[in-house]
Amino acid sequence: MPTIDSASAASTTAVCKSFPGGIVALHNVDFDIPFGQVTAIVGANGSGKTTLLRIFCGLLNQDSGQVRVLDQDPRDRGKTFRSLIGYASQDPALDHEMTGHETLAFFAALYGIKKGTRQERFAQLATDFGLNDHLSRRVRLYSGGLRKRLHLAVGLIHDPRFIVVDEPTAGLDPSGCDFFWSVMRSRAEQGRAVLVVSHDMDHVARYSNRVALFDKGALLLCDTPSNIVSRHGAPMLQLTLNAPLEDEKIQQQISATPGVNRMHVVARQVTISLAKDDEVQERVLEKLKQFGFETVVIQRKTPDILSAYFNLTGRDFSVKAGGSRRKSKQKAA
Amino acid sequence: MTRGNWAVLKVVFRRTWLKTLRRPVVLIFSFLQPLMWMLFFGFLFHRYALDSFGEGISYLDFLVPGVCAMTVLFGASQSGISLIFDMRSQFFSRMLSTPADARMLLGGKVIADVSRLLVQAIVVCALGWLIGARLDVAFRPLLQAILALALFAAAFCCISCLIAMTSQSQESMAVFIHVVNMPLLFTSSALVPAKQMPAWLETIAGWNPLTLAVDICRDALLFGERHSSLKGLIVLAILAVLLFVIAVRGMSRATHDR
Repeated sequence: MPTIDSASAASTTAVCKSFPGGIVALHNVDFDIPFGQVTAIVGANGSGKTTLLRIFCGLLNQDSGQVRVLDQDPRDRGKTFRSLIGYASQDPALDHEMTGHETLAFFAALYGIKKGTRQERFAQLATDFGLNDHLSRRVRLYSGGLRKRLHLAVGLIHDPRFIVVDEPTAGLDPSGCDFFWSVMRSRAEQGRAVLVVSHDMDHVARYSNRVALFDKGALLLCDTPSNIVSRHGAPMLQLTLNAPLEDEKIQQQISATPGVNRMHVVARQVTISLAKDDEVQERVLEKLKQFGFETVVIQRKTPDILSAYFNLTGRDFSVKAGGSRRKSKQKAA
Repeated sequence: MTRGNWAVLKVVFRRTWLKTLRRPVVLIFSFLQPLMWMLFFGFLFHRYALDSFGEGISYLDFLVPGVCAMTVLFGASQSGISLIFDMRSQFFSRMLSTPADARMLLGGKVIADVSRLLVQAIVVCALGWLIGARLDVAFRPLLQAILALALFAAAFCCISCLIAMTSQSQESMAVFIHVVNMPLLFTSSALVPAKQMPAWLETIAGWNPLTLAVDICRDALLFGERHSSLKGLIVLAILAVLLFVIAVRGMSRATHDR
């Protein structure tokens, strides 16, 4: 395996990228990904996360700025570069007519892995991702979660120095998520650099060494999960009302309640960042009642990365555009 | 060729065949169309006078090599469809993100497609013989016919893959298949001897690569090599190599958004 002189696996300096129609995907991004750590990128949709990943992998060129990945310019996409980087896209890139074992064997050959070491590697990956009982079946018979596991296993088959994964746990069951994150952590402990884009805040907080918060193409901050939560986190109140809260005047009056830091409304879903004051919740609920709104569901969340992001940007990406919430393990108030 | 390149060529070849064998319906149905051409055209035009051709040759005898080449043309032009599926599932960009040589990735696929098309052509030939075509099969001319069809198939597989990688759309592939196949077929000597065409069409047929493949194939199967096929084989080989090089260049562009 070629040696890498640099202490960091990848870095960007003042990187900008725009798309036709004036869409700014990345703006002046200075970022550094060290070896031996799991770095998670967190941000709302359209914040530039996947664009940055694709630039790191040489699948997209930046408009300006410098990008170095494993001491190389990713735009060259040389043979060595491709053998050192492992990229797993958001959607499983698999051939449904092949079996799991055939898929691993296929990519093992493409990565030039010697036949003598293949079986050992397949066995390790099958154990890491819980694929032991499924490798002889065709991929089209796999569940969505199994496909994702195989997809991730393929991304690691050549033991890359720099592992880049986009939304790995979307579609995975809780045990699959644990499998994935613990594998990432152990790879980082073996000296690999791991970069993960994820909306899975629980696992990001538990398993990553550093979290980078992105918003509108800019890097807001990059720090350890505990620092981010202690410095920027706040209790959050997530409410589901009986009717959409569309009146802007009512929204303004509620957000003006003492102790409310930020408020975000998507149809019937209201997210509120609270000052550390237990009476704020009561005051907000009272005000909503005065305006004729019943609160159907109340969730109070302790400070976490999501609340830090919300405090910094005013955006709650746990609420989908349609108004429904992503699954949350936080306890209801 | 290095051991790594050979391994890549082998697994891509194997995967392409695996997909064909796991969906045998497509392969089986691919024999129906040439069979119908031979039955309908062969018997509809059995009185067609082949005055520029050898004596004792029926229209069905004349048609069988043409339909063999036609089967190869139609099959090769669809080669890119599987690439579209691979591009949509991102399997294609995943293959290109490995250190594997792009020439081996495309080469393995093209060789697999060409070998499948040759099997199809041989089966079509046998079907033609079964329905009454008289063929004069000798080893050396047969090899020349197979080589001509293989080179022609390789060239058209490369064009098809290039169109697939450039357009990345099934609709564009369908347009390509329909717009290119029929004019190529009707302006070649597959169905009618070039010498019995109007002068303008005969000129076009002379430049049509399908004519080259058909003529070599027909000479081999009906007369056991009447003319030297070396010139035609060289032209087809140049065409195949040139299109392969262009298609390989198109591969890296297909996954890179600039």
